Amino acid sequence: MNNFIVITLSLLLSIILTITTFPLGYFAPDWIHLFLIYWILATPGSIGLFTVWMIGLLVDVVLGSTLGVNALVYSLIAYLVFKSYMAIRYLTVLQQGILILLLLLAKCTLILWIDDMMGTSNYTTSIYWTPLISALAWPLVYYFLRNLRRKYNVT
Amino acid sequence: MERFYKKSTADFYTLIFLLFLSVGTIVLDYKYNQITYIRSVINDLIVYPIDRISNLPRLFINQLIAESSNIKDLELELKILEKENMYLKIQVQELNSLKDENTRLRKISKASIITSKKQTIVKVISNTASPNKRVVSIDKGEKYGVYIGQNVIGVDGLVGQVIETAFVSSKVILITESTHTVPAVVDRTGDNILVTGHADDGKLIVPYAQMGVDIVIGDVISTSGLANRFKAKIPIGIVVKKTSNRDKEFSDIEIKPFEKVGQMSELILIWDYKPKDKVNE
Repeated sequence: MNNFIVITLSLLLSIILTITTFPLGYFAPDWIHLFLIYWILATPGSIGLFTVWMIGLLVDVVLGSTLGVNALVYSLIAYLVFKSYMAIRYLTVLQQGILILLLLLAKCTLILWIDDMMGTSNYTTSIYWTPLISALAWPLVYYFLRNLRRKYNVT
Repeated sequence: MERFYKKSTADFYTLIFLLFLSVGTIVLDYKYNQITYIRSVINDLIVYPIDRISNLPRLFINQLIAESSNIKDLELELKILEKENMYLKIQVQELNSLKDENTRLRKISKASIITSKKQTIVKVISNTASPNKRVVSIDKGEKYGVYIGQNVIGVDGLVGQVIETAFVSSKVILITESTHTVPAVVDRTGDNILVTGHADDGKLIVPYAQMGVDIVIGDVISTSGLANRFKAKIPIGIVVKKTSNRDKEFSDIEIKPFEKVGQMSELILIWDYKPKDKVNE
């Protein structure tokens, strides 16, 4: 129960952070995805792939993109993280940051590709700033959530 | 280990299922516009409260500022407002007589006249409701009958149009968004032009204006009503800059909108005009 409350509240916080950093445009970190990746790494048993998909759908509504685009890339990346959380956990925070940079770059490419295929032009190539900023913000998110996890004993 | 393996294969099929589900929702949302109600439900239940919460600090600061302004300032403001009100009343009298005359003249020429009867003032919840587009969210939605394509104006001119509605909130795209274009007309000459937003905030441009086009600095631009998207004769802005570049085929025309689009706290919805075709159909 504790797990559920802490994870839900932290994800809500990430949405609030996303909305409040909208004015930064593409220079805002991808808060929701960073939080989600942390929770998958730390407690892979408490979040299922289906939950991730629902969160992706929520992100679509928050960002105003076509319903399903973010749901698709979120579940794809979550699957990769689920598969390799054992290995990623033992990397240093810096190495994790680089890995997240690569994952998010792949995500942005996929989003741009889908966007281009539909011809909606919701995004421009400056979307590639987001993974860089997100990777820089990763240590911050990591230590914040680790403290939170230890304090409330989320396992 | 065996259990782990079993679990991971199950995960794989979940992934495939979810990928297909995503493609399904993308197609339904993009091509057929069928599942907008899912969007509005999520919007009302989760995003709207979060939006409100994330705006609390700003509201709090605004309230503090309002409370700290002293009575003398308020009295001064009251005087100014009273003066302005008187001035406006006189103007309205003139306007009414002009309107009557206009109606009479239009009757003679058998053209119908559209006058605004109903307006709704809405509050802006968030001036940046999207990370990559100039979209604002407002505090009225389907509950009040807000519809997609509804024209949104300020006291001085056009602001944008409604692009997304939920039950208690809606999203308005601004005319300064660089992917948004308004069919417009030059008031002085009656020439039809297109007015597009620009990456720089608070600036509109006219794309594809030919070199010799008759637009000079100071011309007032308003909506033309072509394409049945915006009501005709809503003022948009004033031409502030025109540069003719010999190398280019077109001249650069810059328009300053009458409204401080993107920095407003209140907007006005008008009800007497409904776009003929719906957005995305």
